[in-house]
Amino acid sequence: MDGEPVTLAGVPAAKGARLAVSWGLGNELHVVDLQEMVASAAQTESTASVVQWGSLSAGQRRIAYDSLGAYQQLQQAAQEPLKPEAWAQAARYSKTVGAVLAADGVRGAEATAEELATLQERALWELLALFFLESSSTGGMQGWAAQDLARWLRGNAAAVAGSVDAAPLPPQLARALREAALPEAVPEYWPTLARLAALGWIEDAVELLGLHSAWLRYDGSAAGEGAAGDEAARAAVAALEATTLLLRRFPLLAAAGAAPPAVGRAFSAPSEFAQFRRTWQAQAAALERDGRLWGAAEAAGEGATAAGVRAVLAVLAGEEAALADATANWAELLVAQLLHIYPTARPQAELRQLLQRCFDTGGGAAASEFLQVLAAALEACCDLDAQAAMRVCSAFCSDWFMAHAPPLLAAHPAGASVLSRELPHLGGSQVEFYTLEYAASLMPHTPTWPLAAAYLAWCPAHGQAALEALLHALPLDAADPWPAQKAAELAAFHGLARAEQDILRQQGVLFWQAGQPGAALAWLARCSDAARIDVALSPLAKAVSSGEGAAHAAALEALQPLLEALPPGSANAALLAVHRLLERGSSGGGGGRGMHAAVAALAQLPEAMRDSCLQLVCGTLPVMPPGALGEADVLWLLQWLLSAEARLPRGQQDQQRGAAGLASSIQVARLALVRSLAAAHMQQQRGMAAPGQQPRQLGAPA
Amino acid sequence: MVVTTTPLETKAAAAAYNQSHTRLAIADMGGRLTFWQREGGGRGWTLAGTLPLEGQRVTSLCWAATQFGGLLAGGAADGSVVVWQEQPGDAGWRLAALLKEGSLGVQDLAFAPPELGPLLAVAYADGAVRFFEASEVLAAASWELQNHFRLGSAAGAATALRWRPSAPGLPPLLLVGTAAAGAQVWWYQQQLMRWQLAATLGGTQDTGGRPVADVAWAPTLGRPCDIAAVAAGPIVLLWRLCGAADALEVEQLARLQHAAAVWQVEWNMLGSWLAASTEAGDVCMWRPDLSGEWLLLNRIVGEQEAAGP
Repeated sequence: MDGEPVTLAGVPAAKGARLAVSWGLGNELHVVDLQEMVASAAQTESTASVVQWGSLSAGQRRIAYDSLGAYQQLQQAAQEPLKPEAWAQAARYSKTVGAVLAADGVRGAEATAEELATLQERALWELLALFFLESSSTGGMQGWAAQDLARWLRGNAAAVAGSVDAAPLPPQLARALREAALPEAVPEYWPTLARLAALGWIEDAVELLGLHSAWLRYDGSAAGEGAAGDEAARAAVAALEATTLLLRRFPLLAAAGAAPPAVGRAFSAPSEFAQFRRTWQAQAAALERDGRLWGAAEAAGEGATAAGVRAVLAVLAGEEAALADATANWAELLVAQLLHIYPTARPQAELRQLLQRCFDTGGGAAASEFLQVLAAALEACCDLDAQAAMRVCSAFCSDWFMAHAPPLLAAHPAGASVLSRELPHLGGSQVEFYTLEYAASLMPHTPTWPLAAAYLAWCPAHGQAALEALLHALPLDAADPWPAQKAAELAAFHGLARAEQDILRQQGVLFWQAGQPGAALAWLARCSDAARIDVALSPLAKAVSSGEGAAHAAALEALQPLLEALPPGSANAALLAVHRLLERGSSGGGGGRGMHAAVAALAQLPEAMRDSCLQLVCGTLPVMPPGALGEADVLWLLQWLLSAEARLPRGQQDQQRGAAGLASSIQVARLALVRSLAAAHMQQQRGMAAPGQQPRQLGAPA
Repeated sequence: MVVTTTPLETKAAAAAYNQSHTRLAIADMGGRLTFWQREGGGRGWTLAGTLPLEGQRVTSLCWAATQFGGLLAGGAADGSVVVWQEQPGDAGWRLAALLKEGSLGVQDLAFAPPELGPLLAVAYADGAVRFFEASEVLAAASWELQNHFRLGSAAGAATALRWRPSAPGLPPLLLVGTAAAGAQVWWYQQQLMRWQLAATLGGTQDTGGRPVADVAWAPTLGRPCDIAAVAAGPIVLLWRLCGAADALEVEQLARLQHAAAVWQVEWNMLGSWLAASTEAGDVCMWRPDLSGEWLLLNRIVGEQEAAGP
């Protein structure tokens, strides 16, 4: 790590002010400048700043979403490392994620900074896959390193070159060459041809050679258009034809049974390949030295063509100077040397040395940051040093990359053991460390915090606690319950019962705070929070207790389904239930059982809460229909009213409130009960039993 | 990097964010308490309410957890603790309680983890730590002194305190900074209903005789031990704490040097970053590398040019 800390951001602050900080979700810091210690002359208006870093752009979010499935699939497969199935799973994962990285490509004529960064991460991804994943399947056969790296460079040319324009064959240049009347007169024609040949882009090189105007002039001269034109075209075509034939026989190694290449000559046996290549390269060298051929071309005025073709032949002959001239950077030089000089170099032993030489001679020290990183990454790959590869990538690549790359490295025995080692101070592996870092970058943003939760689920040491912390700190809002709903579902899905309850509780309280008791009750009921349900119902319960239930009838009606579904434990809920039953019973609803149910509910209340129902009950009893109460209920009510009256504070017995004091209300209620009892007895004598009534013998004294 | 700044139209003396960082309370130097709100995932703040401070000089603020409703406590220089409560609907904020137990100033205060209910711990300059509890979980009618303990005379004032987040099987733990004896860990013994000293984190030799300015527990996540940060002067000491509350083993983990005195320390939610705010007006951000060595990697600096008149 560099010695100096990086200044992440500047926030407004007066001279001498302190910055009060508070961490938000993930990579988010809140800052307020406090001015208490600032001299009054220097004081300014304080500010509140929110600093967020590592935010994902739209393209990065797309990659994040699209790669999650592959990551989860890999984790769910949970294959034992180094088994064939694990390798196959990792290979599928690598391919899928590589495709995700390649999906957007370059939309315009040139790559934006973000697009280039993605291209470069893709290049590193494929490089790691090549060495840690694919090489373990090819067994490091001789000859593969050269072609594998050439193939890798072909697919990542723009990333290596630093831009689309600087790539070996940019689309704009290709179009310009195809449309030009004299392509060989375009300044980039011959250098591009040499570069394509150097990098093994044989098909493109053959096509480019075929664009030379000499071919058309040669065809025209055959139709008899003049001796001078004949001579120049003939001389040029001779050289072009010979070179084209050579290119078409470019030696390649291929797996046995593979389809033949469109251009080039494939060999499955290394010894045959080597033998053919020696002969072929000698032919290239001989052609390059053919003085008669070049002399004729120069004499015919095709000096530029002669020079250009000779440069290509020098490349094919493996001349170091020609290869250096033809390539644009050390990485291209490395591939060129591998293809044309050291085609059978072995990755571990020889490639590393060659890499160092090409880096030094190919201007590596002055190269772009990416090319420096590439060199370090390739060196780590040559050594199959997973730790070094992680270190290199961590300094350059995104948090996303660091969270997703480890499975590639772990597919190789060298990588698996290193990456799974626990870091003592952390309590988890470094794979988990990087996954947590990535999750932290996803947390602060509404669209991506659920993704963070998905990754935390695969962190064995810290994931559960981190997920709980994330869910607890989410910004919930009464105006938008979606985050709370999502968070509660996630908590339930992952078996975090306590976190789920807390989220439901928090959202319920937010609704209560916002003056939405119905919504508050709905959420608090889900977590069975009797204490808070009690508070939420307190205004309604107070109104009902003091006889103002009618004014809140609409609210009570609207809340009815909720009230009936509330869990037990809330005294106010029980009071409202009593009120509801009393209302129903006194209106004759529920048949004869209405009032009985009300009395039963009342009996279950704690004494203090039961007493708070006095006004409510005393208001209902006088107006209840005759015979609505059975004898047992009446006796119980009489007993209760007597004891409640005795508990009234002194002074209140004579207090006038409304039409009569509470004591008077109790008296009236008792009278109503006695009348009700008498009515019940009379009904019984007439043979009509009221519910709750105890059976009595006919003729027995009252 | 995205920085969003909201002018607060005042000179802040104390500030506190709620747990989800959707609300910000500011006690300003003009004797007002202002409430700010962030909505809809936005980064900017809007003014949501104002209350007069009734002559108190509030030096510290803290929010209760969301499940207790809108509840804010403030500690004042005269030793009083003020509790404000937000009423449901549009009724706004009201003064819920004015608690005066100590004559010397409040140094710090913190609400307990929500599992312990609406409980507030207050650190006083006279070396006492007092606990106040609300009568209800929501819209409490009253607050009562529930418990207290006193630091030893050698420790001096209680300068900072922080609750350890709750964990199953663990008793309540409080990290308390002192003026003259480093930091102390106290644990609550349920059976005896009293607080006991569990461990001392360093002494004058570790803090250089400076009072502890701030303390903070790192979120434990999956670590087998706790980590606590103690700021005294320009040094922040990191301590590892292992074992049961009544047999705590303490080991100094790291010593983080700063160019100026540190007055506040804060851990991020994963316990992977430590932010230390200094008197020089910057915030130093520390993180351990893969080998466990703590490195100063990032800074946030105060910029005077960007500050308004």
